[in-house]
Amino acid sequence: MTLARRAWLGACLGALLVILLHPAAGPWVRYGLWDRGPSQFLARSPILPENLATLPDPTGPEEAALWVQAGASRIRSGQTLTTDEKLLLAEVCVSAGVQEPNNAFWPQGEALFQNALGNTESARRAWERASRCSLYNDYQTAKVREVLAGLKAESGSAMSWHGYAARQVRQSAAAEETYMLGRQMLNTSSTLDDRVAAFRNGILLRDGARSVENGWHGLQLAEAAAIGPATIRDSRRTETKQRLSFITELAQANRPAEAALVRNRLAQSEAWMALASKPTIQKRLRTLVARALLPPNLSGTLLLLAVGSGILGLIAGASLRRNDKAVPSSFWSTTLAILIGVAIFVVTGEVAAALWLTLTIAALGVPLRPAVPGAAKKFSLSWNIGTTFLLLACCVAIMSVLITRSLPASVIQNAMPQMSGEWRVSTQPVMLCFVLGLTLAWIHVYAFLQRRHPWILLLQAFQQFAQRVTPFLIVACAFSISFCVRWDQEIRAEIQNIALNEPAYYLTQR
Amino acid sequence: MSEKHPIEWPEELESAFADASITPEVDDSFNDILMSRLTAQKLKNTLWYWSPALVAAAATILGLLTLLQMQKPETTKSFTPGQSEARLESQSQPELPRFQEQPKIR
Repeated sequence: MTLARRAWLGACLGALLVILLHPAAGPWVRYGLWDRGPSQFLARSPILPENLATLPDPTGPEEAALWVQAGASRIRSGQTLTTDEKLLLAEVCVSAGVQEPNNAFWPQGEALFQNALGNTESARRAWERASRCSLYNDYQTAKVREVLAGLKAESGSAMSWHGYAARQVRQSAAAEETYMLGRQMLNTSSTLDDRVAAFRNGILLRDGARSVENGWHGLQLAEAAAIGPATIRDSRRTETKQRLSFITELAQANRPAEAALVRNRLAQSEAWMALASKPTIQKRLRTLVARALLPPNLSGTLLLLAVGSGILGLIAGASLRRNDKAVPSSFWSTTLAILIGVAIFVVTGEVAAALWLTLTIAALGVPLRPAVPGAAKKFSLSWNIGTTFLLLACCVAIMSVLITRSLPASVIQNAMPQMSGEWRVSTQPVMLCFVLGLTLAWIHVYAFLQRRHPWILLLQAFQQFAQRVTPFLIVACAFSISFCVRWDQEIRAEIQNIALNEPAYYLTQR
Repeated sequence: MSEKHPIEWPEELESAFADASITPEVDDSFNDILMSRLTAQKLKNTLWYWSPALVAAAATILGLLTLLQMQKPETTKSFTPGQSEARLESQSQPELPRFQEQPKIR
């Protein structure tokens, strides 16, 4: 063994020791190497409403808020709530409202359930009471914090993708139903007082919401109150004119303080519309996805590839030592090809990919030209370059498959279903089949030209590749950990801030 | 070709040589010392042979540990709740009614 080879082997062993023994390395290797999910915390935590068979007793504001969200969600989805349940929900809101008279969330919820009961007068009274509150808190931020802490404990380190899971925890049913109720009330009666009440409720919701989705419901309600329901909404211009006339109407009604407040809040709404528009948010989240996805997966995937190529190299080496017995017969080659082809078709549903790989594998057992035993044993430069390049392409394709099927990827996909169109997970296996088939086709061509057996050539390619690339992958894995930690740290604060207070993130962004 | 004739020693010398017994006086620990010297030599050779690997491993470990230690401590600045929210979250929990039987609202 040459001196350089010995040094390289030592570096490889040193890197492996650090990966296996350093406590900081574990969390950054697990998702790529062995933990494919699902997250035990997300699947079992009682913080998440979907894991609850029964709602907990409303002994605190967080539990009571959970009741309001669950009731609103039932109303939104068109499921029936019994009269007892509606009464109970209204009672929960009243009790919590007594404890927190300044929080508009409770009287808004009360109005919602009273309205569902058909008690329109009680609903209107609660609605007006809500409009006189000074703040709105739906108690969802505590849940977000708990999810961030729970996922950090599960992963062993804080990671940026946790922010996507935490952001998804926020519910929007109560905010949406509040908006619907406000619109309904404006349609029923739209006196100046009613419009002011709806406007104030909308602004409270807009400013108190910690997600842009909920904030938009408040903003739209405030806009609807300012414009007035009687307006024929034929153009943006008419709406703008009508919206500003709300200030004039208040001034004319001798309510200058309210007119000033409305002017100020409408200006804030314009800033909201400009800075926290849905396309802006989607664009930002999409940009952050790619950066959040790679750090938790890269190092582990590199190590998995190293282990895979090492095992493949050992098998190939052992097979080659058995000489002619290493070559499966054409029957076994064809059987193996058909089995792999069927498996690919079942997984991807792509006929072309399955057929391409089946043909290239089956052909390994049927050499186009009979192999000459005494054929040259040396490999040409073109073989070395071509095979290394194609096998590296296979590694990249395998990494792509592994990363898009990792636990962080599935969490991000659940959090952003609107990305499913751009991020088709079925594309990666098809690409992998194509590249694998291309590598086999290259081996067939070389075997034909050099009068070698394709199976032997394939095994030799695996052995050579494993010898060259496995140590490199291990060292790359070890050094990538530090890089991934830094990379993830850069965007973690951004994604966590989005999860904790999305409107503030966009409104204060420079 | 000329034949080689064996050297003819004088008979006395030949018999004296045959009678002489050369019995080396060996120390009891001779074998142990020899073996340990041989082992040490082998070990030295092995160490020398693998020294590039050891140096590379040490350098890699040192480099990786330095890189990992250089990571900034957790300084994620996040939005803290505003005054009103903080007040609400730290407020005493409202005494909402307890129910004998939990209503199932999913």
